Parts: sequence; structure tokens; C-alpha cells
Amino acid sequence: MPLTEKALMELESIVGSENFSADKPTCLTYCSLMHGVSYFPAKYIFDAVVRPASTEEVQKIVLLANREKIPLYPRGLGYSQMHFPGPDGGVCVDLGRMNRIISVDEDSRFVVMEAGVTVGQLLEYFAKHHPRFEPIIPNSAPLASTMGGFQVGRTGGPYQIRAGTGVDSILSFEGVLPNGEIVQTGAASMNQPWFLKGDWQAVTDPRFMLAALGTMGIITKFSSRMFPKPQVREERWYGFDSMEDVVDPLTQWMYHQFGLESCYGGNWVGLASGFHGLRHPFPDPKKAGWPNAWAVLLYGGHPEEVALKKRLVEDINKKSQKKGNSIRPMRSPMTPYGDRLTEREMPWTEVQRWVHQGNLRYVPTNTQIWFISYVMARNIPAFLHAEDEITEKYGFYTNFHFRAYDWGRMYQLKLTLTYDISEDKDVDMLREALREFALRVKNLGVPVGPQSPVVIPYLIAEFPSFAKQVKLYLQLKDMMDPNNIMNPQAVAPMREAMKGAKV
Amino acid sequence: MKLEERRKDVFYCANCKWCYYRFPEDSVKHWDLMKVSCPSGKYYGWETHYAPGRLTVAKGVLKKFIKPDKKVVDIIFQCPVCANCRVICGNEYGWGKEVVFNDILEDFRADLVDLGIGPAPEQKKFGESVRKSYNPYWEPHEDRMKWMPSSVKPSKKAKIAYFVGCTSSYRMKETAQATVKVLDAAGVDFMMLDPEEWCCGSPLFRTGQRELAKEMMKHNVDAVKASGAKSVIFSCAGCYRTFKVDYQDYLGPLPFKLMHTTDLVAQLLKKKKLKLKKFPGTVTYHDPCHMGRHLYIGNPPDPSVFEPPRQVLKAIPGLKFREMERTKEMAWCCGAGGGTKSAYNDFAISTAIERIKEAEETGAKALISSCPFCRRNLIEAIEKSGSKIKMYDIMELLANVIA
Repeated sequence: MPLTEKALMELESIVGSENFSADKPTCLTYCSLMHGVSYFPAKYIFDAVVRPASTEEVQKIVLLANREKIPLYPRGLGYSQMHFPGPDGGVCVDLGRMNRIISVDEDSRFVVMEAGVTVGQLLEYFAKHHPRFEPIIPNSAPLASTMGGFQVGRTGGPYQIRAGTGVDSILSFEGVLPNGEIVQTGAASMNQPWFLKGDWQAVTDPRFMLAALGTMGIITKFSSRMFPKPQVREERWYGFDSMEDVVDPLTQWMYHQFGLESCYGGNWVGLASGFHGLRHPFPDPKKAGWPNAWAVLLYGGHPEEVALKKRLVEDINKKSQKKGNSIRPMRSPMTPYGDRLTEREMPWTEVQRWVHQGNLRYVPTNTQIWFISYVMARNIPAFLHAEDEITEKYGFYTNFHFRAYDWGRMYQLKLTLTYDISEDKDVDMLREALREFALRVKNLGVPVGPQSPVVIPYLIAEFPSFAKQVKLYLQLKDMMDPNNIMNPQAVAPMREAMKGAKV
Repeated sequence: MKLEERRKDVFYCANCKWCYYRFPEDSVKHWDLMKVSCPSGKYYGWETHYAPGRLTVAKGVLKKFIKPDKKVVDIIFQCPVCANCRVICGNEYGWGKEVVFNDILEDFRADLVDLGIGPAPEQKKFGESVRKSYNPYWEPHEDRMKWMPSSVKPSKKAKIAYFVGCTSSYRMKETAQATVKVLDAAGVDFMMLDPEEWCCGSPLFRTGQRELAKEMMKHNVDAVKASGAKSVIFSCAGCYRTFKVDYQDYLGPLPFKLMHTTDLVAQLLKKKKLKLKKFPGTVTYHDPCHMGRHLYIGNPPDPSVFEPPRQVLKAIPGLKFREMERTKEMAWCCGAGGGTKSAYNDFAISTAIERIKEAEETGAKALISSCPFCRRNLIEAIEKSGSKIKMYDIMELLANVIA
């Protein structure tokens, strides 16, 4: 149902005309997410985009949305996959203007910021004003991504081995519930301590709302931990005969939290995945005399702490060697140009060759996920073509995207082919479409199969959770958001999947 | 539609938004050196005004979700086409192929002009001026050489022709005057193309008014050929880029050599053809997009395009040279390019003020550039921001220190 003229005018009056747009080009832009072509809207489009500047403005928007039954889709910079408008249109709440870094407390080590602060902005701010400290930021996320999005997305980051993922670093937050109520959780880092907010102490875990991607409310402000910059940063490289050998020591390093930011390993495709551009040829690992697989451990902290960690790591490595593991220290890889391996040295043709040879079998690092994403993203015209053809041939609205799942400390990338569940199509036909799609993906040179990082087919309709959990979640959602205004499309597939489900 | 021909390029953008931020060479160690890279996105704030947003609009037009209208014109023309996004995409994240943002944008602009809804009214006006008097400033063509100092007498026939450009001829005359003085002092035998020098077409090419631009191109190339000159030198980065990139895109390799004055002067200094006095001051240099990124783009990229102006400055005795934080291929645009100065002046000035602040942070007393159009906008920004920094063209500085 399109928005009424009155509702549009009211929205405009809340945020001001320069921060309100109902024109089609702007609304279309806000429908486009990362890897946006795959999600390029074929059917639905936002009715308006608003850019509030404060929690109070967000509250006014939510109250209006409740009154007028307008679906709201909060958005950072569009890196998640969850705020795609539905058939009812809706309003995109762009939090990009809420980008103030409110305070930094060096003694208690936390920073309070608004949800729209970007990673790049935060890094720039810390470098200028608090050079002895580091904020917790998403690992390998683009600098333009918002910190609010990072926190609600449960993504990992530097220090995640020590401190957990982004959401674990949250001390408190302020948000607007679907009924328009402003809530503040946590302790002294916010204006008011939680115990002064009578109704809210029942929810003790801020994750209830975080990681909800706007389905339970809109996070507008939060405080997050920060770390002192380590006095020493060092890295150690290890070589292995095979990828199988990497797994054991790597798991133990991770388990004992020896890494400062991360410890990771892989084959050379994995390493090269972090290397951008084609300015120089990447050396042939065999000719360079490099081992088949590698792992790297980044130490950090006080000098004594680092020395202790090194000793403990050596103990683990020796024990591993005794069991027949091929682990041995290696020099940091050198290029033919004499420099240490730096970015921009991976020839694309080499990557493709390795992928074709089926070398890319293990995906233990999110760097590799990025690599695969890039493989996909850079082949988007081909994918788009496939998408269009399949849509035309089978009559489904199809699209695809990438998902990285955190299974313990291992990641796997899923290529998902979704379809509009509201259209009651023949399931066999859908399977046929998926098979054809899989074939096309395979033809692009990406390995498909159980050992592959790319797993297809995967239907969004087959919601991969326990029915009881889903039911509970939906009950909670109904209770908190009776008008179903907050990010309704995120829960729509769950509702469909729950129809007739035995709980 | 020209945009249709670029369909693959348009959809090549994965909307990853890495182009929002500049990523310096040593970024792995210095995450703190990040800066927003897009003047338009920073000023307007909407995602629509960053490169991926503009391409999303292009995708929408190609997929027929949206029809080109006034709003689309605003979005597409509110960009100085500085090409920072393209360099970041290509050099940092492009897997060997960058999204050719600025080329796509210019094609899109040309389509909007063909459809009769673009460019912005002010840009249309300077097009009319070029048609009438061969310059975008509504100045009479016969006044084009009025800036020429009486002390300098160019040859009637010479191997080198000096293409002055409209901005130096009518608005920033100091640049043209300084250039001929330097050439004269170095004993360079040069000629002028007047009265056959017309607008190079740069503002027209940048704003999609290609038909008229091609007329200018044809005339200028014929004029150079008829003059018998073997080389053409430019003191304007925009004219230089237009000859070097646009003209050669349409006409293939030109039968004469193209050179920016900084290239020539760097060579003259090397050959010790110029004697310079001491300049006791600290200066910094602003890389014009047209004399840097627009020439730097290519395979393989050629970083040497950034060196001649620096060589010239460093050759001045006593001069202390300090780089700004964002330089060379990552330089922050002055904000005036792509037709924004005429149509969206507030945006152009705001962008220039940011550059002025960056220049002040270096402690320099003077900001130097090699583009009269950048200079014009930066001078206006200095006036509006109340800054005390001085703004000179590199030739102007050089003319003052010739012994």
C-alpha cells in the first residue's frame, strides 16, 4: 500500500526536506545492497528514504509508522542482506547521518558512538585523538560500513579471539522499540543507568536487540569496548606439507587465544585472496620454494606477554610435530621483487587457474570468503544473465547472494538462490531451476560440491533453525511489534515456513 | 543509448563501496590514514551521490525501473568527475579491472543531453556561449589575446604552439602571462594559435554536450595542423587532458606532440636553460585531477605524471616543499570540475575549502597548482573561508623567481 501524501509530508517535517526523499532514483539506490546486482530490485522499491539525525527523530518516525502501518527498514550502508523492501513498500531509515562519536573514556576503555559512525571515520578519529587505543572494528569489512551494522550483524573483528565478535564488545546501547519507546541498557556508559529504566531490566542481554537487524527495534547509539594499542606486534609464519596439517595447530592456537587479532592459515589461493590488483605477477609458490600450506600467527601485547605466548606456541608446535605434523617455521613470504608480500600482487589468471584445478577446498578464513565473494561479484554480469534467463524460463523471481556462516570458528560460504515464497510455484520446477543455476555457477569455474566453499542449492524457504526457536522468536516479535512495522521482510520467510510446521 | 553500450561496465560494480574511502599505499600498517574519497558523496550525504549509487541509478534506467528525469539529471551532474572512485576501484580492489566510473558517468550525461533533459541549465548556458564566441564565459572572441604582455613577442611561426585555454585567457590571465614570460626567459621559440584557438571543449565533454565539443575538437586540431607546429604546450590541465585523452579517443593519435608546461619547464631546468632566484618560503602542491588521475588511469598506470610539477618546485632554491595528506592519485579534488562550478557552486566551494584546510595543515604559506580552473575555485574558497594562504599557478611562482 503506497504511503499517503499526509504521511509523506509528516515524515518530511520530522527530518527536514533536505533529509527526506521520495523520488524513485534515490529510493532505488537504497534498495541496492552490497553485491547489489544480485539483490537488484525487480519488484519492490522503498516509498521514501529518511535520514534522521537523533534518537528522538527516529522515535517520531517509529510512532508515525505505527500509526500509519508503514514498514520501516533501518539501514547503515547496506552491507547486510536483510532490509529489502517487500510488496508493501515502506520507508528506509538511513542512519548514516547519526554519525557522532560522542565520548571516549580512556580510563574505563570504552567509546560511545551513534549507529551511523563508519569504520573509516572511527579509525581516523582514534588516530587523531586517541592514538594509544584501538576501537573494535569489523575484520575485512569495507571502511564505509557502519559500526551499528557491525554490531547488529554479529560480525567478527580484530581481537575477536580475545574479546569475541563485535556484539560481545557492546557494553550498552540506546534504541527505539517498535512501539516508539526509547530504551537504554547497560551501565554508566550511557546517560542513564539501566536500573533507572523500570521496564527494561527484564531484558538483561543486549544481544536480544543486537543482531536483530532492525526486526526488534532500531539501535541508535551504543558504547563499545576499546583496547590499548599493543606495545609489540609480531607475526610468525609456519609452513606445512598439506592443508590437513594446518588444522590441528591452528585450532589449538585459536583455542588458547594466542593470536592478537587473528591466527589463520590456508593454501596460497587463500593468502592471495587478500591481495588486490594485478600490478605485479604473484610468484609461483612452487618455484618460490614455498610449502604447500601456511599459517600465520599475529602476536601482540607487552613484550613479556608476547615472549610467553611464543614459548607456549612452540610447545604446541613441538607436540604437533611429534604426532607427525609437518609444521615448521618459515620466513615471511618474499616476492621476486624483494619486498615482503604486500597487497596488489595476485594475478587474476593465477587465481582462476587454481580455482579450476580444484585447489580451493578448505575455507578456514574469512579472507577466503571475501575472495569467493569477489569471484562471484566480478562475474556478476554472467550471474545476472543467468538470473534473468532462469527467471524467464521457470517463471520464478530468482536472485542470489552470499552468506558467511560462523560454524564454531570455521566459515562456509553459501550461495543462496531465493525465490518469492508468496508465489505458490511447483517445487519440482524450482529444484530444476536450482540445478540449472548450479550448473551455470560451475561453468564459471567455481567448484561446487560437499568440499567446496560454495554450497548450492539452498532455499531461503527452508529456514535452517529449529521450529520451536522460530516460533518463540515470532511470538516475541508479535508481542513487541504488533503492527509488524520493523523490517517485516526479514521475518516474512519465517512466517511462511512456519505455516503448518509441527512444533 | 551510450549507457546501453556500457551495460557490462555498469553491472560490473558490485556495490562494495570500497571507493568511499581512500586507501593509501601503506594502508596495511596505517589504517588511520583513511579519508573519505568522494567530494560529492561527502557534500550531499546521500548514498545516491557516491559512485555506486550513481551506477545503481544507471542500472535502474537500463532495467527500465526508472525513467530519466530532472532528479536523475541532478544526481548525475552533481559530480566533479574527479575519478578518485575509479582509481581506488582499479588500483586497490579491482582484480585488474576497475569500474570505469567517470567514463560511464560521461556517457550517461551525454544520453541525458540527447534526451533533452540535461545538462543543468547553467551548463547549457556555457554551451551556448561556446557556440557563440568559442569560450564558455560569454566573452568576445577577439579579446582572447588581450592578456599578452607587451614585453613578450611570440613568433609568427614556430615548432611549439602555446594553447592558452579559455580560463587563462579571460579569468586567470596571470597564468598565461607568467607562462609566456617563463618561455621567453628560457629562450623557447613559440607561437600562438590565435585567432584560431577555440575552447578545447573540456567543459562540454565533461557535461555530455559532445556534438559541440567535437566541433571545437575538429577546429582546434585543424588549426594546429595548419600552423605547422610540431608540439603544443598547455598551461591548463583541463585543455591538456582533453587533447591527450578525449581528442585521441575520437581521432586516434594526433600528428603533433602534447606537453604540459610543467613537463617542458622540468626539461628546461634540467638543461639549465632557466636561472632561478631564491624563494624563501614553504609551499604545497595541489594535483589537478586532469593533470593526475585522469592521465594516470590506464594499464599500466604511469605514476610519472605526478613528477614534473614537483621537480619544478624542488628546483627552486630555498623553497621548502611539503606534501598534503592526500596527494597524487589520491588527491582531494578542488571541486570545480565536471561542470559543477557553474551549476553547483556551493558544492564546488565547500570541496575547495576542505582542500584549503588540508593545505594549511602542512604549514605552507602558499598553495600551488598547475590548472587555472582549480586555481580560480581555490582562490574563491580562500576568500570565502578567510584563509591567509596564498594561491599561485606554478608558472606564476616560477615567473617571480626567474633571475
